[in-house]
Amino acid sequence: MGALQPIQLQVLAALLFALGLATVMARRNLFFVLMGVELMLNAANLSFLSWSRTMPGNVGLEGQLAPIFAIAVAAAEACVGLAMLLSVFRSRESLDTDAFDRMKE
Amino acid sequence: MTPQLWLLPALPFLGFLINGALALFGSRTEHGPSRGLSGFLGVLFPLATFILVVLAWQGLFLERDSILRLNHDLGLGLGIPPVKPFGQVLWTWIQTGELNVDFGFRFDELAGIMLLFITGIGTLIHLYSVGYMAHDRGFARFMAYMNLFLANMVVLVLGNGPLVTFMGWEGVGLCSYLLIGFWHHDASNGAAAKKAFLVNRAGDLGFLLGLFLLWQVLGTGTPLTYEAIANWFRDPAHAILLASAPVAALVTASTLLLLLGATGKSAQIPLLTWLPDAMAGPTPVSALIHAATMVTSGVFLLARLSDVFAHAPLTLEVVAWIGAGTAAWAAVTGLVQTDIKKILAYSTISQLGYMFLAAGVGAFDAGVFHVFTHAFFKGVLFLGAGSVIHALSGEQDVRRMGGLWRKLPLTFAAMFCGWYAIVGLPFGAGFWSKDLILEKVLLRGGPALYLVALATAVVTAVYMTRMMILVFWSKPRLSPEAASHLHESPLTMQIPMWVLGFGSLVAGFAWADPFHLDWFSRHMSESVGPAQALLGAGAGGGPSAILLESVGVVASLLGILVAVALHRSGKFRENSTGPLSMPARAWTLLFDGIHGVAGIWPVRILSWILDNIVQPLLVGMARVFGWCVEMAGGAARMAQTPRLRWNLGLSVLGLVALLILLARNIL
Amino acid sequence: MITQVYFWIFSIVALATGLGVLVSRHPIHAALCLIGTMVSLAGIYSLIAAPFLATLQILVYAGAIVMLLVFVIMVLNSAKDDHTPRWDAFGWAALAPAAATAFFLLRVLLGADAAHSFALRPTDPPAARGTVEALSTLLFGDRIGAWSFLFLVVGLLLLSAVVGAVLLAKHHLDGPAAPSTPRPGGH
Repeated sequence: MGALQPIQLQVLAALLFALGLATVMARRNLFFVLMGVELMLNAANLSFLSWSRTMPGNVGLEGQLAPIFAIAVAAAEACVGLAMLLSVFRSRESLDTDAFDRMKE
Repeated sequence: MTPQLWLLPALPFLGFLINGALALFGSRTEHGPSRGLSGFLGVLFPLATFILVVLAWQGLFLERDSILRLNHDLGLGLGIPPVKPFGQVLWTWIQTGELNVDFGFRFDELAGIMLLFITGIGTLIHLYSVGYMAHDRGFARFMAYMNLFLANMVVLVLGNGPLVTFMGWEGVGLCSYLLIGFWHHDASNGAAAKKAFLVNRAGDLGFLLGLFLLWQVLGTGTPLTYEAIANWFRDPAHAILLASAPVAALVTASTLLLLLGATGKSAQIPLLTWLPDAMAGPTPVSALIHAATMVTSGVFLLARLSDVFAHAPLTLEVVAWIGAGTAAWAAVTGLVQTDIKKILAYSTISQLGYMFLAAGVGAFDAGVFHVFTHAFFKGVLFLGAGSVIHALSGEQDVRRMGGLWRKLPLTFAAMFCGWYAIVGLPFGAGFWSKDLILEKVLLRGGPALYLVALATAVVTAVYMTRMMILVFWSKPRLSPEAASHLHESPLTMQIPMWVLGFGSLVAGFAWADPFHLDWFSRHMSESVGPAQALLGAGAGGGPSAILLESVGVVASLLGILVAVALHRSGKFRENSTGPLSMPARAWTLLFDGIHGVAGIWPVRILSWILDNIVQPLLVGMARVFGWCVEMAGGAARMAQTPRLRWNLGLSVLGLVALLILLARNIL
Repeated sequence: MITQVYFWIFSIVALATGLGVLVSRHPIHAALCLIGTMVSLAGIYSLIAAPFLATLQILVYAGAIVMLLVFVIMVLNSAKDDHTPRWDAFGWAALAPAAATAFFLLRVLLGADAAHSFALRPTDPPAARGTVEALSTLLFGDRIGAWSFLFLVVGLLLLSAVVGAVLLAKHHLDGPAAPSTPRPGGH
């Protein structure tokens, strides 16, 4: 176990991704769904970074710009998602994903 | 006359179509179509056919007799040359490489003789029906069916091969069904018709199977025509082949099956129960179909395929014993019947037994001769019975008849001729034909068969005399309503009776060896001669013909005396003939029982199995299949869920599948 | 060597808090666990020479986004929250696709690593290190290029997100069924 190997980071990213996926699918509360999505995005960022560190020169550096944008997009998405959550809660009085089976309302 | 043989069946068929159309179009009116028109057409077409048959005979006749005259004039002494039969092929019916059958007709002597009396007696009976069925609402329908029957019978006889004959065979079976159940408002008539049809069908199965086996024997090179079959069997080159064990077994099997078909049509053991029940139909039907024509098809088939049967001695043995057994059994049963038509029905079965017996000992021409004479005397007996029934306003029980010889003299005269012929009194038609058969049986069949046949002749005389006594000669026992309406039949019914009565007396002279009149046997020689030569059933040898005929007359007189004695002692009045009555009645039901066990019970069991085992199984299989589809559909439906998590889960699974697909090398 | 130690500490914390998000009972606990995950990830980012990103992660992700989440949780907490069950049968079933994904991803990754044997590049020359100067040079650098354009687009995205969020949540602020606002699609 000498220097840090990119594969270790990849494994961690994969596991975090799976955890996020499990959270999204297994929890019924809408909050948890959003949090799972955030976890998945984080895992993706980590994966991006670790791959970019194996690249030479500027390419490796450009690989660090992608997570920046990803964070920005995650922010926008969280914002809108939460607004929708509020709207949904207002009309259904419930945050149970299983209860949202009619698009009309 | 050019051989337009297709006209022979076509004319009665045309009569059927026209009368059928009349019946259909007149079905809405209250009274039905015009009796005059329908009756006229109904008699016209068979008459036209009869005339054509006579003309066709001229074609045959002239050619042969002119040659004979030529022989005689020139003193060449060349003997009787074979006659040239002529045929007409209408179209190609079946054409597969191995089996090629044409639909055509062939007019030769055997067919010619059969056609003469079929169309002749057929025309007379059609005329009779005009009078008999005059008050029936379904008159036109009746004439239509009778014409159809005649057309089918002509096809049967005239066909140039077994398959064409089979077409007519089936057709007459159908017409028999239609006509027996003619008064269909009574359900028992329909049941009788159904029984006749089904028993016939069982025979037809034998016919077809026998035909298939015969074709196996012939091989694919021979076309399935009577001419080719006869030539094949007569060819000396095939004698060795026919002697070999496998081929001989095949021939025997084939002939036994064909015999089954013949017994079905001719009401012999084992397929004989339908004929007494068939008396439910109108009397002209009984006369035409069940006395003169259809029931003789079986004997006709035996004569037609005489060359085949000549090579199957085992089958001929069976035929002879079936004939003798049936004749005896039916004669005994006829002794205890009270319905006049049933007596005549059992008499028909008995006489058919004689014909089979003749064929069985190899005397095919004698058998066909008895067919010929039987048509006359049985025809007149049935017509007379119909006349009596008509006169008594529907009474059929002989216990309520009597003393009618004074009241119905013309009918009595005709029936007397028929009676005279059937009991075999000298020089009547039955005398010549029955004694000829007895002679042949003694020569070739041996003493056992001869004694059975002779005993049956005695019993025949007994029951026929019993009938005559009870109907005509005894003291009147009529019911008052019948006695008040007593009247002779109209002219349309009388004329056929006179003609047939006359025929019963003189028809026998067509073949009377002591007087050297052998028109009949000469004309049969081409068709059945070689077969008979093979079996050694020619004339000559043994006791003289006159001695045998005397024995026959003695038997008849004995029977008459027995009948008179029994009547005098009062036995007939209570309808018991002593110890014979119980077993005979059980015998009547015996064959129904056999048919039940052999035919009906297996079908019942099979249908029970199908109904209770196979049906639920199939339904279960269908249900299982449906259940599987339902499950699959239900599973597929789970993907169409509105629930968010499910959709996501399935999408992820799809993603995983994609991953596997893309990276399967690494995996 | 020390890198490895830090890496293991950070990764175990990240995984543990991630698990905490999965099994928490209350959304607030889950949010806190999420913060934990993000901070550990930030630590890892700094380990692999991406200091700017590590800072950004804490500032924006853990500091703003999760805080927004916490705010909304607290708002709805007081507004009669629902009683959604924490775990049900489908939860167990849902673990299967996730596990399958993880399994196949790992197989592919480990297989690829064995085939090609990647390695992290050393951080010399210093330009390869993700400092603020390096990244900003790249972003806004000598020429007007793709990255700066992308930067502007992200700005627009954020603007639209804000507007959308305001629109969506507006009913809640105004009270139920404000008649002046047309509902999309109609009822």
